[in-house]
Amino acid sequence: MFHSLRQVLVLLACAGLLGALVGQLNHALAPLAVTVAVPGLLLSFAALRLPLRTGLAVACLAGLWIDAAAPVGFGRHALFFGIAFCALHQVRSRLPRQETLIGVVAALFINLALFVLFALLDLGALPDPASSGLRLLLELLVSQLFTALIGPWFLALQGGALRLASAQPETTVGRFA
Amino acid sequence: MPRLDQGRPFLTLGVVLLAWLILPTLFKRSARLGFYELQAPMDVAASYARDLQDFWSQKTRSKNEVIEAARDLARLNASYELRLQDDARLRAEITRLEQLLRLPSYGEFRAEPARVARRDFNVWWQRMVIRKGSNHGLRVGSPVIYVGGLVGRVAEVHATTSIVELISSPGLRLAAVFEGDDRPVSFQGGVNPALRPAEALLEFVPLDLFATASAPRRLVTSGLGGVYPPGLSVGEVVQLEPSTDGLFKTGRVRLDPRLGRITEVTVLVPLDPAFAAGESPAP
Repeated sequence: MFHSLRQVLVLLACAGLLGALVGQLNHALAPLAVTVAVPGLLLSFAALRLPLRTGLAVACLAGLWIDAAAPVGFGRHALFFGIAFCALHQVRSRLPRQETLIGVVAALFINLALFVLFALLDLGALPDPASSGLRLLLELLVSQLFTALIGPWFLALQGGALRLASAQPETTVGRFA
Repeated sequence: MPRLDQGRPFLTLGVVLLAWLILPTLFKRSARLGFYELQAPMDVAASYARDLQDFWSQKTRSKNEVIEAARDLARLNASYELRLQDDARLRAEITRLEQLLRLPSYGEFRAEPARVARRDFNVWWQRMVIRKGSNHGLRVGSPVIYVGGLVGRVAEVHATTSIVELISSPGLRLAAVFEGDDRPVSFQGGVNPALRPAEALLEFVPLDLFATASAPRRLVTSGLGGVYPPGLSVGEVVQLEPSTDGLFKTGRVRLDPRLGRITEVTVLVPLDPAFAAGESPAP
């Protein structure tokens, strides 16, 4: 119980740190009219390495964290993060999930899926979808590059933070050893 | 049984969703507020760190540069003194004419300067967090201005921070007029191409108004609705073409590129609270 709670708190602290860093990056990029979004990084570690309930709690709370500062319905990101988490959790047994590369690739796929989903849901509401579509494509490209660049560091940070808090997730080998 | 086990993540998510749906609204609002107030100190701390960084970079300037800057400021102050005197004379004239013609007066505002803590400009919304909130008397709906004209309006007020919705945001509409014309047109933000300044859309423009990229027309606030004071610069109209119904024109407004680099704004806090809510002013 306390082990799971520690895992949730540690991963949420990491998500908060990443959110603050990306927020500052977006602040600096504002004159260029480009934004970076890295939702996949918030989810991939939890979905690949944590048990279902703990990981889902991390995904939903990270979504609520984003929802609190965004002008969208409170719970919207949490719902989509939850769905993305479940989809990745479903297939993780077929993946070498301890590998950093797999974590980064999973984050890239989640980014892409959420970008497409939000575009499909909201693009029609914009006054000029054509120019917004081009910007979305550029932002997707920049976000994917940024995710690939900092992904290994962030996954290592999450792993290191969990080790520091003595809340490492159980590996299959560890469980049966 | 294995099939049920495969669907366990989605089943759990469904249970969480169900629990979320039956949670009282009060709990959700409190949770949102709690999450926001947890994030706010990070933005504010980063903003103070940037200010400190600026301070130390300014300290590297030579004495000669500082003396030159002080001299330029003294000149500016002198010209502003003259403008202030002129402003007082014009205000007295407006009051006299309002009394003479029995016109309702425009709302009075208190200016509250604030530093920008974080800019959040994406395709879906264009907002910024400023370092003043309800503790400084800010109210939702107050207009926000900067050196280039209108920035937007206060969308949310928290204890020590507020969120400003920019005029480039798709959700913001206002009544504007062409400079030198008194017929209102509908302004809506939300055209935010990458690597270029933001643009906005105009609707219900009278057919006898013209503007092109080579001969743009300035767009200012109309003062209608009571939220924004009249005469604040909104942008430049660079394109007008007949609308599909042929009764009006539609167009594009180029917004000031400085809007994306804003570091300090002024919130106009209405002295009469009815103005902020967009209601008609008290008699």
